[in-house]
Amino acid sequence: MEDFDLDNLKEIFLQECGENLDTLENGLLRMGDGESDADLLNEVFRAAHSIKGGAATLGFSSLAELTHHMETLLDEMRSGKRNVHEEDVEILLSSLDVLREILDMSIAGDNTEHAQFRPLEKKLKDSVAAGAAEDKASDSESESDSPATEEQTVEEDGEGTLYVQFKPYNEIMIRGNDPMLLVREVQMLGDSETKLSIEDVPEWSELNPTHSYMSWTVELHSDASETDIREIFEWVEEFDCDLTISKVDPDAAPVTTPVEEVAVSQESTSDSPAVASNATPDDQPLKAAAKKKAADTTIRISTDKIDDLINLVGELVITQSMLSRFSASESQVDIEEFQERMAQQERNIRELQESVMRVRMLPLSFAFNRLPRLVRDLSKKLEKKIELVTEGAGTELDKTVLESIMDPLVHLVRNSLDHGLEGPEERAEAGKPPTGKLLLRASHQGGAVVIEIVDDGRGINRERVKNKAIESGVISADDKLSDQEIDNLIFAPGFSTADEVTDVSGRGVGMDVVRRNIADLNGQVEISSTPGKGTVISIRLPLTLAILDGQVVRVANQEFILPILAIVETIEIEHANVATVPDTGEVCRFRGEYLPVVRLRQLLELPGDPIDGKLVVIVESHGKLIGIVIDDVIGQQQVVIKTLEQNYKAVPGFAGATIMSDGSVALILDPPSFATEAIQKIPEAA
Amino acid sequence: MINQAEAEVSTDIEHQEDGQQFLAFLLANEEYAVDILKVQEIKSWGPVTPIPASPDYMRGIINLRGTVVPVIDLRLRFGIAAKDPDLTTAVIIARTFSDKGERYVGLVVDEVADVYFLNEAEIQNRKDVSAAISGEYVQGLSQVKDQMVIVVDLDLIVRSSLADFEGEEIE
Repeated sequence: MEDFDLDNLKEIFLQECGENLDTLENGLLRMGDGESDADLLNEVFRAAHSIKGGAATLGFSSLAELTHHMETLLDEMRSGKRNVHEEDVEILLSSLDVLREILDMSIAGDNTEHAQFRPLEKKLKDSVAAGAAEDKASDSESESDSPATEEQTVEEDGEGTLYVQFKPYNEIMIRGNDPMLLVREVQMLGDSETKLSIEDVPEWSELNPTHSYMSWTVELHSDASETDIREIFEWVEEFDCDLTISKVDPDAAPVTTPVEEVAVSQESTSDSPAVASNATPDDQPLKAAAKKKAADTTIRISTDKIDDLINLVGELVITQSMLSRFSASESQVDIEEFQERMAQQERNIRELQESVMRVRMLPLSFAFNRLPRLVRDLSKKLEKKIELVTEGAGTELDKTVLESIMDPLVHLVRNSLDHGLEGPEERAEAGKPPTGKLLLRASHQGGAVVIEIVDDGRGINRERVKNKAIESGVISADDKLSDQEIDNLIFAPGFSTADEVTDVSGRGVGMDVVRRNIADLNGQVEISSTPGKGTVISIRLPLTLAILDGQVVRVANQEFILPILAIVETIEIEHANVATVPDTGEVCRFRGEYLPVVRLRQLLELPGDPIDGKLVVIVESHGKLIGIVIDDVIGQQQVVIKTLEQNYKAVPGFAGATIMSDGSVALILDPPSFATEAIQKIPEAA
Repeated sequence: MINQAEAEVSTDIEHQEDGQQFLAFLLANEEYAVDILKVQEIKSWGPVTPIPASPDYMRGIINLRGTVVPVIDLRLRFGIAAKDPDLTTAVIIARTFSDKGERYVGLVVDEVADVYFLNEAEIQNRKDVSAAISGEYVQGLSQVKDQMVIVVDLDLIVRSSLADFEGEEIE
């Protein structure tokens, strides 16, 4: 049981730690950009502090130690004792990276020391020491006397010195409390010096071994507030001891310990024997697996959402009780009122469904927040000046979708930075401002979320893309392609235009993987570009994977679901100009183009005359349109996607099945795979 | 032919005096039996949603409390002439294990007959059965009240039925 609880705590800590690291990173990046207002510094400091606190409690000692040094540095910045230097931010950022890695190692149960741990620790200390030297030159006042520190002790979170005087009554142990444990807990709050007073210990002959006669004074240097300390003594304060907590040494002999000394003593106590080890590559998969596990298991939900749910369930119960009164009543039921209540209940249930779905929704900022760092590091490496702007980071997306979109997003951003945006000289030549602009924009567009990655770079060099594509056999030399089709060639497997393979991009694996990953999420990705002006990549994603907006269609008395997202238009067959082209199959004319047509009845070998059908649904998949002939359109409805694979197997052409309102099962057509199937069966129209 | 999974399961079972329980069902007036521990439940016949491009013995899919379960027509699977469903037609929901974990599959039978206690010793391990079905699914034969019962291997039926058109190797 105890183990279980600890694991649970660890899980919560790890998750919070991840969040705090993100806060820390964002704050540091802003600091790097020259921001240094008190709010920001406090926020960063608090994040570091929370990590340290949690890590120390749960025994992640190296995590706690490193954060401690970061915290020291940050505290000096916060209290105005040192300015925010670029170099310091750099060190802090690299410490942050190491913290992340240590965290991953800890999750994987690897407690060996990180290779970068000692060097960074030294750097941080040097940095602090350098700052201290600077201080001494300008300001000879000792640390704890400076007004800045005074101010912080007033503040809940501030680092300061407290004197805790703890005089247990004689009977404290009889009541089951161990004074030593309490003292140790106080000591654990930070750096401390403890004085033991044995004045009250009586003569041996009078000593009662079950009594406690000693008292302690702990001089505590920490950011713990008085409340934190009183909490430790919560059970004993009232009846079992005298407790005084003050900022002044009650023994009236103020001995302030210099900061350096404390740091050393602290290190000597918590320093574990140095184990020579590196994070070996073998650790990687393990780490990744552990990380994935942590990501899979929990979700943090804002209390607002939960309150919404509770309110709705309340409504549901009230309406339900009204309805049961109707069914119990013996007299004639007022049908109108009954119908009204039923409608209300229906509304409640729909709202409840929406709210429950919202529980899984997270704002896109979770994904966007990781990008500033990437852009910063990459632009440095590529020697480009790039400004990243995000819009619509509050747009919410299903957690699964959000997690799966992270990698493609990173890839696309890297790509824009590497290929799209030019260096300052090239930009100057093109008459553009030297700083390139990368815009990430998210928005809702008709039941889908659209994420756009817009850069004002050089755009796609169509000639080069086309030549490369011919060279690598993606297309043949005599293929006639529209501009848009050429642009989208970069998503073809094995395609890359980078002349040199850099570690940023250029290996030609990637864009096709990006497209496939997005397609796996039922999403679509498209690129459009204006040479010299820039490129827009837009990703269209469903709000959630579990529910789909579907069009119920009927063929041969069987109902199928078509995802609404894929439907472009539905036309009556008489108006669709369906014609048979020898050796090609059927085509129809739509917006000036000839599209291949498949007859669902024929393709699925359903009963009836294969050429029966009244409507042609034009669906889009991977930028290509095809027409699907069906009998009838029944209506739109949201369907819950059920997998076929669990008990059966994947069926080509179908994304899964769903349970209809009458309890029957309907298959969900999957236009992309369906189109491939269809086009394979019927040779594509030229 | 007792396969691995079968063997493992049967060692777990506490053998009573009377032996293991088997669920008997009828197909074209012949009596078959399957290990009752592999039966999740029995449903009456209801409408199924056909799956395109599947073998004829795959009748389709049904909704079993929110999960989608495929239904195999055992008559067609065993090569017996098809029969229209009537009032006694039942769907035995089998619970088997695949590498993906638990798997539920429905089996259409003419009629559910009885539950028998059979001793392993009573089940003659015979392949040369004169029954209408092919011998590969037959685990053995038994005699109940002068009536012959064909004990079939549920796991194997399910596995081979789903594997047949997947091109998977049968272990």
